[in-house]
Amino acid sequence: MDSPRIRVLPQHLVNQIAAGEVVENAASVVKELVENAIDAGAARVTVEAERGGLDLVRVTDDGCGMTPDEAILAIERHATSKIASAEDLAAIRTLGFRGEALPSIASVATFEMATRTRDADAGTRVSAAGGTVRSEPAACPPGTSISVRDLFRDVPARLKFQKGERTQSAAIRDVLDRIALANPRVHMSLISNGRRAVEHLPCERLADRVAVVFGREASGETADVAGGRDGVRVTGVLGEPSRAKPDPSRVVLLVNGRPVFDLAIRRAVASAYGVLLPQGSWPVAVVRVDLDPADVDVNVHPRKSEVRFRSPREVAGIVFGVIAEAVASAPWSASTTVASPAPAGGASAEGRMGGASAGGPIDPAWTGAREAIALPWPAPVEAPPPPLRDHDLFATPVASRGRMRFADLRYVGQVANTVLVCEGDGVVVFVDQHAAHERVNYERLWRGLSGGGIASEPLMFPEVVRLPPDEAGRVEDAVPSLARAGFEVEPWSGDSVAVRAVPAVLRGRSAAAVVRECLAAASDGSEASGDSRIRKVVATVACHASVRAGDPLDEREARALLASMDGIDLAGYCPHGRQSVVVHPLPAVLRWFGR
Amino acid sequence: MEFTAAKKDFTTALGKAQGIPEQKNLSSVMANVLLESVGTDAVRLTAQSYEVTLVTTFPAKVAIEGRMALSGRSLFDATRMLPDAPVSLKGLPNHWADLVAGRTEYKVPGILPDNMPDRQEPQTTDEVKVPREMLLEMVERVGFAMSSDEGRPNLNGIFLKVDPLAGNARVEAVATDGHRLARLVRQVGEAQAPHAFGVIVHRKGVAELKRFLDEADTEVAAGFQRNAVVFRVSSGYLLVRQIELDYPDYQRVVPTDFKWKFTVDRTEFARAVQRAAVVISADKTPLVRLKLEGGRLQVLAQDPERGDAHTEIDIQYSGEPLEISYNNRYLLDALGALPGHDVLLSVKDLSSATTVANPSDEGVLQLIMPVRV
Repeated sequence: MDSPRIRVLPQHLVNQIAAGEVVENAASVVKELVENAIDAGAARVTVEAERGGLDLVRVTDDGCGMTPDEAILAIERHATSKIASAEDLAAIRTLGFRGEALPSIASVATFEMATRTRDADAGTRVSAAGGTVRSEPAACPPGTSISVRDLFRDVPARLKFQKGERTQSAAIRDVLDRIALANPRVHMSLISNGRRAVEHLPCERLADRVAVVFGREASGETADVAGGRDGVRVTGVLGEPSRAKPDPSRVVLLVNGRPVFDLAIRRAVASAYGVLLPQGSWPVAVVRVDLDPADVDVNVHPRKSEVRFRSPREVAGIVFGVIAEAVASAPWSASTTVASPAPAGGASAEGRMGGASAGGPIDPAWTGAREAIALPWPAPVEAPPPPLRDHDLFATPVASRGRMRFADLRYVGQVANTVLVCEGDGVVVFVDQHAAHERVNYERLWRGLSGGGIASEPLMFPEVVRLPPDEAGRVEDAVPSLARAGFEVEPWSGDSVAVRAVPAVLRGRSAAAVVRECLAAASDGSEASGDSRIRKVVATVACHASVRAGDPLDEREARALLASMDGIDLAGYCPHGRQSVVVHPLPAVLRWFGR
Repeated sequence: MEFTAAKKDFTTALGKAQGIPEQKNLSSVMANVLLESVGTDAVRLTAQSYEVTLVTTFPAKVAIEGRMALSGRSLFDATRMLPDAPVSLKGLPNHWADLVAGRTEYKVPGILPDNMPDRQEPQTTDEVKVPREMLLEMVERVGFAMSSDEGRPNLNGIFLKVDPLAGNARVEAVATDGHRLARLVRQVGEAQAPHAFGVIVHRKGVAELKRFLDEADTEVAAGFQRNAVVFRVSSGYLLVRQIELDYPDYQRVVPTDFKWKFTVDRTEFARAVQRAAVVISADKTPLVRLKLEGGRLQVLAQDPERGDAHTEIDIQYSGEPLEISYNNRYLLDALGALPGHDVLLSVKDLSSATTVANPSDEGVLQLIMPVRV
């Protein structure tokens, strides 16, 4: 038998191998083609998919189109209009550049392209199947339309591993949504099995596109982000932390306009929300990082879904800084804001509601359903449509005009020994007593820590606390953080520690449970920085020092709690990120009764 | 069963029982009190909870002997509103009762008396005679310092310790919540106790003791048994469950060598602390700072939102300057629980307890832990 000989592979086979990397499924076809369309300067991109894209993917754009020569060249391997030299490769501003996509796709499917430049009289039709390429003049509108049929028909191994139609469709939609977020001005539609599945009208503001892509329900009230330094510009839109869900894909990262995955930056976004975000939950957030293309290598991955920054830590740091700042000034962070009294003329509360913002975006929190329904749909392109669907129009943790002082609220009473009910100017306010008190205590402790330190009360009888064996070993590490929070803890015998002093704020509560939890917080994860450890410890202390759900409060105590919430940042959220204040506009409440 | 009693006798007996029956779950048998005739001229009232049993007998004219178990809550509420006239109670076939005084009549719900749990009878082994005044003093000067933290059950009561001496006994009562401690020591009359012993009297019993001692004999026999303490007077007894745990070694935390000592007018000092407390919001750790220098004591408090307070008191002091902070509530409690015109504060160091005492009555001692800021 002949031993195998090394030989150069035929071009068609090379393309099929490359396709293995580039073309994984129908969604990756959509991604490549839509990105090409965007690179071609399209203002409108339409994607048609049949049977999850396996039967047909057609992407039609109104971009610059190609001349007949270019059109043939385009499906040659490594033919691209996007770069010409190695210098260009180091400064990529387009989405594609490798020149692999079209030949790869053409090698695993029946490929047809119709394209015409704006000033050409006639277009070109190029079709490729099974390694042969044919080209002929054709009539077509300006731009490019590429049809990919019978994907993987000649690659049974790949076809066998394709997921179901539903999954494919969802993946296509997901790809399209991400590109839509990166290009809010581009009109994008998806027609799936002949039905219009997605219609992203052009938007001037990213926030509007975010609202359409995710839905206002999922994002809550959004805050815009803009900032940066050292040549790194960070922009984007942040969703409300109280709507966070345990789904990290809600954080979309765009690097120089390209949707990419980057764990470090995603984590930086979450940490910038800080204590507002429940552990493991993710808000809707679209963060766009623009930087000198020379500082980022997009040529890491054939599908370009990952990038490599020249200085990843620095970029993550800048993202963190900018977003933390935006979070601090976000409407939900202020949370103590509600409608201010209406200007003269808007005497009735009803009038106040309707009078919301003439030109600006309509605040979902304060817009009655009637106003929303009255809006035309689809709206004219110049004025992006406000989202229609919001099941939570009335109940809102925050609103955004004028500051409410909790001390000025009329205290109505306590419900279930847990929720304080108050009446304010045109609003009914519900306060979770534990969450609110916890936040107040947390802020005070934190201020105390940055001021003179946290008051510590030595125990008359040191308490000996038994720990789980794995934690006992970490006590030494945790002692400094605990000491800063007002604990005096020292290893005792075996798995026990002696607690000699506790933060004075605990006021007579048993130290054992607090110390156990604080030790766990202080020794949690080796990567946690000292600062985040101490924050966790302080949050634990604040939790234990606070009134609990189920504690009856008399009116004096309830009022003291409400008064203490004024002047506290983020009073609307507990340190673990749970919401502590819900404001219902009075008219909405009255409407329950048809009044 | 049917009886008639003077309104005062009846209300006094009920008043002693009123805190004991179950208040929340009114369908519980424990929500009822038991009334039994004792011969034809007295009625015995029994109220029980898990921690406390009260038995008290009051004079009454018994028309029909027997027993009744009636809803404590209904009985208290109705009796409070009765006109000033002899009270008569008459059992009805459905175990309810007719409560009549003058021309007012209530029907009070009740249950079959056999359904009531067995009464806890005292079986004391050791006994010591204690003046009623000392027990009242114990409740007032010590009781406030008990812990209500269920996480530290051994502190949920007053530790009562009896040391027999020749012919009499030394009785010591201590309460602490781990942040402050109150101690009362008194010599009392005869003790039939062969050895020293200590028990923790459950806090629920401490609250009842004061009511129990209302209009009682001047001398109370305090008896001790395996699981309970029994306070007995001629009209009945109050049995309080013991907390069968070790009490912490409190002797160890009473400091002895002091670096600073000063005496100050008790009322004036308490008022200064109250003045300072004005700036402390109710929901915060209420800290007051004492500054001792030369011949004056400064009492200070500050709050970032509500401002500062500063009061000065002239005192006789020429020792070293001192600056120390306390939980304002603990300090006020201690001052309020002390007898006498003056108060003596003794400080060993900033991490040991400060003693607050009456310079002329060593029997009462208050300890409070300072707060390190």
